[in-house]
Amino acid sequence: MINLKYSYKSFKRKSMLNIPAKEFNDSETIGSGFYQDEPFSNVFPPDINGVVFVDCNLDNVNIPAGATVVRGTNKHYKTMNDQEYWIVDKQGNPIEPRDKADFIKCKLSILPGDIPVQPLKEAITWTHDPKRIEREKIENLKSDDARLKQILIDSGKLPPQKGGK
Amino acid sequence: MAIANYWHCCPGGNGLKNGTNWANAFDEPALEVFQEGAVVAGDIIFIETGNYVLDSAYDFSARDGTATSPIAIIGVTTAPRLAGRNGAAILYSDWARLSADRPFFDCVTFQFKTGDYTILRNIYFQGSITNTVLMGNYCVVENCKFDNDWSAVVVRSAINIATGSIFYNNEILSANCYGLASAANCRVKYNYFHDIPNGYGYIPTSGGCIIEFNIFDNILVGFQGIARVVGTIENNTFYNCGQATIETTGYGYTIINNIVEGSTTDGFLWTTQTDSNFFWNNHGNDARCNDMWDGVDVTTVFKDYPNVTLNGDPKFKTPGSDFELDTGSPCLDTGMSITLGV
Repeated sequence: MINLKYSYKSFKRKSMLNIPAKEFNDSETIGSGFYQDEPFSNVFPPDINGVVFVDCNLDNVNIPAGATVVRGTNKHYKTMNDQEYWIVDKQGNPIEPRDKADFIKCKLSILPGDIPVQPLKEAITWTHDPKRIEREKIENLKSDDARLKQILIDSGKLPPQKGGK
Repeated sequence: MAIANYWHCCPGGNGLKNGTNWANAFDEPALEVFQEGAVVAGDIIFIETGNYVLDSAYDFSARDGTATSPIAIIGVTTAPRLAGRNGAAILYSDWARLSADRPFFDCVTFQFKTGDYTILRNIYFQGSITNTVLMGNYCVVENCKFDNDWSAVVVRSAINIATGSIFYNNEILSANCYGLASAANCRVKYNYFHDIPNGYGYIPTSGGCIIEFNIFDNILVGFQGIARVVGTIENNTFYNCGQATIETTGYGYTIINNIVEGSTTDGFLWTTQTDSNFFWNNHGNDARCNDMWDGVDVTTVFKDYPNVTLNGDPKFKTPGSDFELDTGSPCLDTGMSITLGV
């Protein structure tokens, strides 16, 4: 039975601890979000039973024993000094970047020991994003008239200037 | 404009969930699979009012539209599904033009990434990650709402648009981060940037952008140009910002017909005096904005300062919510007529 009250809705950063377990029991909650900022947060009544979460965002949420998770996501992570989300253990220690593929694409270390000691101003994968770097190089070149002119001269597409304006 | 196919999505999906019509509408996971792997230039996707919660990055940045066949994602009300209007039969009046109707994409901590030549219309995005919505080049974003709800003060933007994009008639807010970031040559018009007390409303990372008819309300810095060269800032209202506009070493700006009211630190701040900037007919003064022209090069031959700068309370109808000029406003009918072009 689909739990219409709690399906296809966003409950992020909200606690359900004070809601009677019977509102969840023996039902499927589909396509909803229960994300919390702090890893390993208790959100649901501990005595819920027969509950199935399908395609839900349950990140940083502890799943009670009486519930099962089908697809969706249920990871525990926090932002570190590199302004990226890192999967953490129960003590809050980083284990690996949540978006590991982005780190690899940007040729960044995925070792927790390489997380900067001081907080960065922007997300490290954005700073090192190859697509963004390439685009900015082109845009900077376009706005640098002198350099652009020199490139055209060097490539023979513009005759060399002989002085004056 | 060449259209490939029409697709349909509603919160729970329907039937086969293959998107071909409302009876078989995608749900969010099915739509995501389709967009990431099968969407093609010219496809138009209608998304019905409701909630869509992401559980992974929604990334179709590898799927580009083209100039003549963009990929369009359009929020619609429940009316077309209930009336059985599919695809080409969906009417403009079905669009989710009102804020209460817009489909809500709760991106949570995941990005929504588009390719080039993508159109987004009538959708509300909220998320807690850098560039929650990250768009490709030459995109169009219209009548959407963007909210970065990250709880810490860091450099994150609610929405990032790439080169040559058009950003019209959107609402942007961000409690702790930035609003809009863009690359070069974007057109940013008729938007409402508000309640961004710890970041910048709009920050281009390259020059050549045109910023017109926007409202910047209750923002740490309305427009942050950094060292970007050449920009046009016209007919905007900056209200209750820390600083309306900051520029460092950029030059070649045209700044005309803006109203600056209630800045607590500066109206316009130029950290380095640069030339080739053209300031004309802007409304605001030190008494109402603390320091209206902080660091602006007042000797530049290209501008007229401060002779035509108007003064006094601009008299908005309801400051902070209705910025229409009230009877007796000194700004009524005083904008300089502008003809752009060669």
